[in-house]
Formats: sequence, structure tokens, C-alpha cells
Amino acid sequence: MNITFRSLSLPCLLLASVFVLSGCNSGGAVSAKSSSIGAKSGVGSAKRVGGKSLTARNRTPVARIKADISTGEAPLAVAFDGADSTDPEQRIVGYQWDFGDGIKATGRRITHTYVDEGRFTATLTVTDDQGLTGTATLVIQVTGTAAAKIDSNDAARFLAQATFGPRLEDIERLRRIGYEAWIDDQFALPPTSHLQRVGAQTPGAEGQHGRLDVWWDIAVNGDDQLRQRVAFALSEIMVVSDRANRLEDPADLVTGYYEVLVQHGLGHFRDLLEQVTLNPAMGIYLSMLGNDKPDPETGRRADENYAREVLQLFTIGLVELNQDGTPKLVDGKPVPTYTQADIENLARVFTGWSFDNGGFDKQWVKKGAVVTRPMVPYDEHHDSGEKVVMGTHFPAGQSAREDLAMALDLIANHPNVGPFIGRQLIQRLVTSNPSPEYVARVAAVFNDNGAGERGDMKAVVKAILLDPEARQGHIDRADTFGKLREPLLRVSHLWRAFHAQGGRMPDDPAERYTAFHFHGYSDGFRQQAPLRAPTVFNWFLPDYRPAGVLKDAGLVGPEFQIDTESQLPRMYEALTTLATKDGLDDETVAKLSLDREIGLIATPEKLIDHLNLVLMSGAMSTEMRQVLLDYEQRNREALNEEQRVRNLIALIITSPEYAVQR
Amino acid sequence: MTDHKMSRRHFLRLPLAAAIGGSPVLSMMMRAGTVQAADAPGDYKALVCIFLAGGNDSFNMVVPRSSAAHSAYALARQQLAVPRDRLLAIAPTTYDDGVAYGLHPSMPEAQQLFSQKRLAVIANTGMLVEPLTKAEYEQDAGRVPPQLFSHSDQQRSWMRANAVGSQGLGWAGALADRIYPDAAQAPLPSPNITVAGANPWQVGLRGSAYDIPAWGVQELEFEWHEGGYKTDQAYRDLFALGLKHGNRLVQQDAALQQRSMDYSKLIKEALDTAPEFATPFPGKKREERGALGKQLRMVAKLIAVRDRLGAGTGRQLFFVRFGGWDTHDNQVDKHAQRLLHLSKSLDAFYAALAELGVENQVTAFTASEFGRSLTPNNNGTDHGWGGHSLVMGGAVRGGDIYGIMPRIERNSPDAVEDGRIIPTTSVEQYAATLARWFGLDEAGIDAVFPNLGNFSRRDLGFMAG
Repeated sequence: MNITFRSLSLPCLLLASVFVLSGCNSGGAVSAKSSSIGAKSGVGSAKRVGGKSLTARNRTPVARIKADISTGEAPLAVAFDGADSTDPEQRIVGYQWDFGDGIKATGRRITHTYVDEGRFTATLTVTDDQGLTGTATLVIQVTGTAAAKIDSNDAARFLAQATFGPRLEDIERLRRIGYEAWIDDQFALPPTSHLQRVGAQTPGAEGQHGRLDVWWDIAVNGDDQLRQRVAFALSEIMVVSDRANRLEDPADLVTGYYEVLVQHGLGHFRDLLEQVTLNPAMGIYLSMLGNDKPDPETGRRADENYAREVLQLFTIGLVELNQDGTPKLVDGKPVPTYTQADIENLARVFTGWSFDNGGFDKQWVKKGAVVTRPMVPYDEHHDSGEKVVMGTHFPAGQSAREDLAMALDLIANHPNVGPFIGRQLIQRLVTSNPSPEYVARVAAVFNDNGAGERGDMKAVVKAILLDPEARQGHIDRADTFGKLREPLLRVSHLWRAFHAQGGRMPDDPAERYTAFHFHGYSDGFRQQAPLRAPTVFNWFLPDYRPAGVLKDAGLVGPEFQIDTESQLPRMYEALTTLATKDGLDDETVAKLSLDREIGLIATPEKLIDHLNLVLMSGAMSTEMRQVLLDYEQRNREALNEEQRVRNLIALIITSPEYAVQR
Repeated sequence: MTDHKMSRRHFLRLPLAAAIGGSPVLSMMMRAGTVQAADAPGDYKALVCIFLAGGNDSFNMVVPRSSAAHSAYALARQQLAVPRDRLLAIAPTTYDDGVAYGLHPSMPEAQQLFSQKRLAVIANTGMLVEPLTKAEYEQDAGRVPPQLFSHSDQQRSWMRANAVGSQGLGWAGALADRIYPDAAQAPLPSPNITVAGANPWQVGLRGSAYDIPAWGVQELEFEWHEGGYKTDQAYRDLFALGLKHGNRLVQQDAALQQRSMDYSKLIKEALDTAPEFATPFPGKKREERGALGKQLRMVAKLIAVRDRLGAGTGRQLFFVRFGGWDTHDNQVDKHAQRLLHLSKSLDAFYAALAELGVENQVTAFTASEFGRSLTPNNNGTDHGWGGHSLVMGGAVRGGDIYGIMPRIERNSPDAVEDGRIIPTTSVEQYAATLARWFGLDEAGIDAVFPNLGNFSRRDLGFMAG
């Protein structure tokens, strides 16, 4: 996002949607050069450094600062550019910045966010290869805004739930505009398309690599964080996986499925369900694509795969639920939502669909746009006999489309959907063990958004995030609140919190575009990657109860299913490598921007408080803070500033207190 | 509840004590010494559960070979039918229902193991509360287990060996609890080891299985930057804080980190001493690829180094998982490929056990959440109920079929719901037979398998001794 500041042709318009600027410099860019701020005749600030004797010919460099903006509301992100600095010998070797708010950094171009209001003098010092320096300064005016309504930690906690990871500037902005306005802003942003970018922006990438490169870029840098985060949550409920043989290639197949979740995840549930059902990747994954009508002659039956899983996993579950998500009990026993006969009838409903390529039997032709277009009906392969599904009569003679519409209406209107989907979305975003009351409140909004509409996913997501339990659960239910962070979200969090930049893969001529090149193949992440679950049951089940304190207390911990004794050191090695070495292996490049953190290390308390905010939403115990302070104290002599910052980050992200998003 | 908490606390104290003492290995060697591991391998026993996740179409794994029976089979199975002349004949020692049987053509190694009496077929097992007839099922007269055709529910039920139970213990977990009432005597890191991640089978009162994946274990590396202060100490301090944290999820994570810290070094060093097996495990050639071979290889390595884990004369339970059996489509190729890998993996595993001289002390058995529908859909099958299993080992009365083979035909009298076979042997009978061999006493068997009394046979007879 920061990078866009420089290249924007309409900075005010676009920035306004992101930062709500009160004043915008119409020129967009401002600049200052050394002579304008009191330097004497171009060489005034030259110094001899380090006792070196300089040759008579070397002259001092001249620093010049450009910035895309110099005035605005906090938090103000300013893209500084020192590239116009000059040296008569053209030998500038260093660019040191002091932003005037206690933070220092190096680099020719750099973006810095001013968090507090005030008048700051940014200073650039350029150094040539002989040690001569030139300086320039620029005043940045950061105006106060409406007073922050929200505590920083609360804002960070909200963003941990609603995005792929909080960043300081997002925290500060949220504090000022409030939760609901933030959500509404997010809803208003156009969806970032994965499909349009795969291929176009990943030239030469082999199949799924390009898909993952686009996914990671959008997760870390995309503006429509909430929509993308919900899409990812849905991808763990309505699962499609590229591990299935027939979905490995082309990558557009599963990308097209993800696109459905991005485009419709915040729409209406009935539409989402139809798009999911008719997506060809889902059609292949759960074998509805090419599901032929039964043949009494041979005994061939309709394929039950999709019929069963759409009910069991995507919409209503196995047993009837109260609105609060608890099972209805009759004589002390749960009541099944459907029978085997219902499945067999619903399987017949789902017959007759295949690729939109002119032939039911051309199921193996999976090329081009056809792999992302919804499946189409071939009525001669549809079982048009009468059917009864969960008590609803489907008359004989209906077309494939009529049967499908009737079935999806039936399913989407089932009273289980609200609590079933509501609870799982709560688990994916907020907490593993929501109270029945929380589930009931969200289910009520699913049933009626207040305007008489059912299945309004925007209203559902808003209800989940604004619920008092989501906002206060860390206090009111401190002993059970939260969720174990899953491996993939730990990575996205790290990269967002510290503004990671990707790189190019130098060794692979086919993939010489900038990306993280993080393809999830590392065992350290249990091969966790978007749309790569081992089965339709995802990496973990929503009711998984790990043995130990959770099981003893009757609590679930879904993500613990992939967090095991041997998995853990493997994942931690990968995470700490990412934190300390800007990459993981020969492929992955993710350079963290740690200028702010390095600038704070002179006062370790401040640095740790800052890390506590962006990584732990302020949930760090005083004891943990003390362990980190002691550790930092003892490393002072042995390690340089950057190493010390990185070690602290690595220690935090491998700690139990961090492991649980609270 | 009190006992439970006591024993768990006791259990947790062990690795801590070992860690404080500086060497988990030392404490473990002292323990191994008390049971004379190296000199008395005679009492060692292990069970290896090979879970075929997804629902194995075992009616195409063991197939009628007599002419009439095969014709009826082929009519039911249509394009999925294995041609009669390609079946690999097996000759059961005692089982005789008037039908000859054969194995799928991609299982020559299994055929040989069968003829060498190292492998037995357990016919048509599945989840049952009590014996059930077709009429009872259709009239809703008997006790039908809930959620019969759901993967997740049937996997869990199978692993708990209890069609209706809700106590939440797996039968391997319960076995370990009962065989080692004193956790201090149990092998490290646990009698239950999984090579395939968390699973319900190995959940006992004292926790779940320890996870040792096929690629082995590693210790957490702390030398992020050379010369820094002891990061491992800070890391330990942080998870010690987690153990007493007020949030239970934090506690859970900290306990996991502690287990990992305490044992990974011990396991890694033990595995470093494992021998290379002369027999190659399948997986190198493309057509032999699969997830099972390397997992069984890890099990064999762990068995080889069991002395170092205090299991020299003890009892261990291993879990491996081989997925991809949910063949709703493209079944002919997918299923054959998996059976091939299964057959070769079983063969290699037996050979490795023989190299170690423990082939009579280790029993491997297959399990799958359900069989599949007899009649196909387009080119696959749907979730069924009963299915056949395989048991392998020197202690198995191999070369025979146990239980009752169902009639595989259109509208089979043994099938309900359009071609789903009603089990004739309960998973509890199957599991109890294995548990008895493993050393569980009769009182324990009644406690662990609560519905066993509903069936006439407490022991299926396929284990010797």
C-alpha cells in the first residue's frame, strides 16, 4: 500500500479512502533541498569524518528530500525519497534518515508513518564514499484528528480478528474512525480479484506457484483485508483442495473457486451457496461435475459425494441445532438432520451438471475460461424423477436447474445454517469456544439482518466482529477466550506487522517477478497453504478437543489438530527463520522493514510495548515483558540493533502467550 | 476425576524431573534397566493401526472367485468389477462358505503373505451396537449406530470402538491407560505414538499420542545470531509462564511446547542409532508412490530403537494413516494404485520386522471408517458400512478368513440402503481380539469395549497365544 503513494496520479482521492486526510497537498509531492534550510552555499554541512585525509578533489554531497505529502492527519504515512540528492563525484553510499519523532532509518526511499500529532523535522544525511556528508531537512506537520475513540490494544485485537494481521497505521486509523466505520469502509472497497492476476502478473510461474504468489501478495498488501480474510475463513469451511489430482492443473480451476469466495463471501448466503455448488473446481472435488442420472438397468446410482458434504460440512451439519448452536435433544439424544434416503434423493437432484463446454461427457477438457465458469445443466443426464429431500417434495419433470434451485432454497433456509455457519465463522475469526449466547446473536442476524433479509453475510460478519464477546471476551471470559493461531496466519501476521517486501527468484528464470515465493511446501507449516487442505474436512475439525487442559475443561481447540510435538519445533524453526533471516529457503524472500523497531531499541521498554501492540494486541503479561527485557539487556553487548530486534520478534512469535490470538 | 488428575500430574512430573536432571536419556536408561530391556525382548508387543482413510472399497480387495459368485459380483459392481481371471487366488485354511476367493491383482505380496500364514482377512467388520438383520434395520427395530455414512463420525467411532459411546477415549488410549496404570513404567515419550498426526484412537486419560512424523523429529534451533545470549533459556522461561497462564488455550500450547522440548532430543538421538533396513520400502518408483511406506518405515525404526525409549519389554501402539480411499470417482485406477502401495508396504514392513527379529511381537492391522456401496455411480462408489480388514504378523493365525463373507450381488440380502453391506462382525470384536493378544485382561476388555457382550464371540480367534 505504501508503495502506491509515489505513483498515484490522484493522491487525494485515493488516499482519502484509506486514511481520511483532512488536508491534502494538491501538488502531491513536496521537496526541500539543503540550500533552502540554512546550509551554507551548498557545502556548508560538509564534515570530515573518521580522521581520513580527503583528497582535495572530493566535494561534499548535497542532500535533497522529496516527500509525497507533508501535512495530514495522524496516522500520516509519508513516502520519503532521497534519490534527488547529488554528489559531484556521484559516490553517495549512504542515506540516513531521522524522522524527528525518535525513529531513524536508512535507505534511499523509505516510507515512514507518523503516529502522533505534532510538527516534526525530518532530516536526511547523505554520505559519500569518502565520508563527507550533506544534510537536508523537511518539516512534516501532523495534525490532530478527532480524538482516538478506541484504545490501541482494543484496535489491534479487532484487526487481528478482521484482517491478516494488524499494522500500526491501521491500528491508529481504526482508533479514530471506530469499528463500524472501518467495517463499512472495508465493505465499500472493490474486491481484489485473484483470478485476474494469476497468470497476468505471474508470468512463467508453474501452476499453483503463481496462484500462491498472488494469494500472499493480496493477503499481506491488499486493501480489502476484511473481505479477503472472510474468504479465507470460508475456504476452511467450504473446502476445495489442489491436492486432489484433477485440481492440480490448471491453477485457474481452484483460483476460480477462491474468486467465488472473494466475490460472494460478503453477499447473500443463498447466492454464495449456488456459486460454490456450480463452481467446476468444487464440481471436480466433490464429483458433482459429470454426476449422471441413475441407470436402473445397470444399477448405477447417483454420486452422493456433494449431496452429503454440502449438508454435513457447508450448511447444516449432522444434527438439528438450537439457534445458539447447541444440539436439540429429544429423549436426551440429538436429532439427525437428514437420513441416508435424503442423501440418495439429493444426489439425484445434483445430476446432470458439467463444464460449460458443450458436452456433458467432455469432463476432461479443462482448459481456458470454461474452468472458471459455473457448470451448466445437461438435462438429458438429469434425473427428473420425483424426489423427497428432508420432507420436501420435488415433483417429477423438473429440469436440472429447477431441481437445483429448489434444493438450494431448501438448504439455505434450514434453521441450522445460521448457528452452524455463524459458529464456525466466529471460530475462524475470533474465538474457538464462543458462548451459546454469542452464537445465538450471530444466528439471529443471519436469520434477519434487521431489514427482513436472511443470509446477509455482511451483516453476519459485522455482528461477529462487533459482538460484546468479540470485543470484551478477553476480559469477561479470560480463561477460555481466543483461538490458537494457525501456521499460515502467523506468517501473514509477521509480514503485515513489519511490512515485508517480496523479491525475485534469481535462480528460476520462469519466475522472475517480485513476490514472496512462499509456496507452503515447507513441512514446518504442515504444508498449510490456501486451498490445500488434506481432505474436505480441512486441516482441523471445528470440534477437535485436544487431550489436556482443554479436553478436561470441555473446550475445543480446532487448530491444535495440526499443532503437535514434532510439528511445533519444525514450524517454529520456519517462523524464527522468517523473523531473523528475511526468508525461509532458496525460494521465499520476505524482507522485513524494521526501521521503526530499530529506532526504538534505544529504549527497550518502548520497543517491547510496540511489539506487544502489533503482535499481541497488548495481551503480553508483565512477567513475559520482564523476560524479554532481561533478554534484551543481556544481548546489548553481543548483538547489533537489528539482530536484537529480530531476536525479540522471534521470541515473541514462538511464545505460548502469542500463540493464542486473544 | 481425582484419580485422573493425580495420574496426569504424576505423568507430567516425569519429563520435568528428567529435564531438570539434565538428561531425559539418563532417566530413561535407568528405567529401561529396571525391566532388563536388552536381554529380554520376549515380552515386547506392539500394535500398528494402518488406517485407510476415506473408506476402502474392500469388496474389490477380497473378491469372490468361484464362477457363479463372481458373476453375481460383476453384475453388482458393473464397470468396477475385477475380472475373474486376474484375481490372485487365496486358499483359506479353514474358512469355507462354498465360494473361492481371490485378492485384487495389484496385491501379489499380500497373496504371498496370506499363503505364508502371516496375513489374515477379517471379513465384513463395521460399527454395530448389537447384531442387526436387514429386516431389523429396515423396520427400525434394532439399534442402528448414528451417522453411519459420515467420514468424520465413523472414523471417530471406529477409533473409539464404540458405535454409540461418548466417553471420548480411543481404544488404544484406553489400552495404554490400563496396561500402564503407573505412568512411570510406560515407555517414552508415550506408549502411543502416531506417525500421522492427531487421531482419536490414541486418546487416553493421560493424553493423546506423541507425534513422530515419517520425516523424524528435530530440535528447536536457537542460534539465530551467533554470540547472542541464551535464547533457549528465555524461550523456556516463556513457556514456563504459559503453563501457569490464566488462559487455557495458552496453557495447552505451553504444555505441548514442554513435551516437545523434553522429548525431541531423546527421540532424535534414539532414531540416529536406527539401522538401515535391507528391505526397501515402496515409494521410490512413481507407480509405487504412496504415503504408507515411509510411515511404516518410521514405525520399524522406532521399534528398532525401542530400548532407548524404555520400551524394550514394554507395549507400544503405533498409528499410521494412508488416505485417498474415498473413491467417488475414477475408482478403478485410484483404488488399484492404493492397494498396490498397501501390499508392497505390508511386505516391506514384515521384512523389516523380521530383520529386527520381532515379527512375532508386532501385529499390524488395517482399519477404515466404512466399506463402500456395491453398485457404482458413474465411475466410483459411495460411502458404505461393513468392510474387510487385513491383519499381519507372526502372531497372527494367517492364511485364513475370519467372520462371515457377505453376498456381493445386486439387491444383496446382506445389504441395505441400495448396496451398503450390514457388518456381521463388530469393530469391538475385532479390536477386543487384538487387545487380548496385546495383554489386556478380561475385565479391561469389558470396560474398554462396552457393547462386546451383545455379541456371541468375544474373540475372533485370529491371534495365536
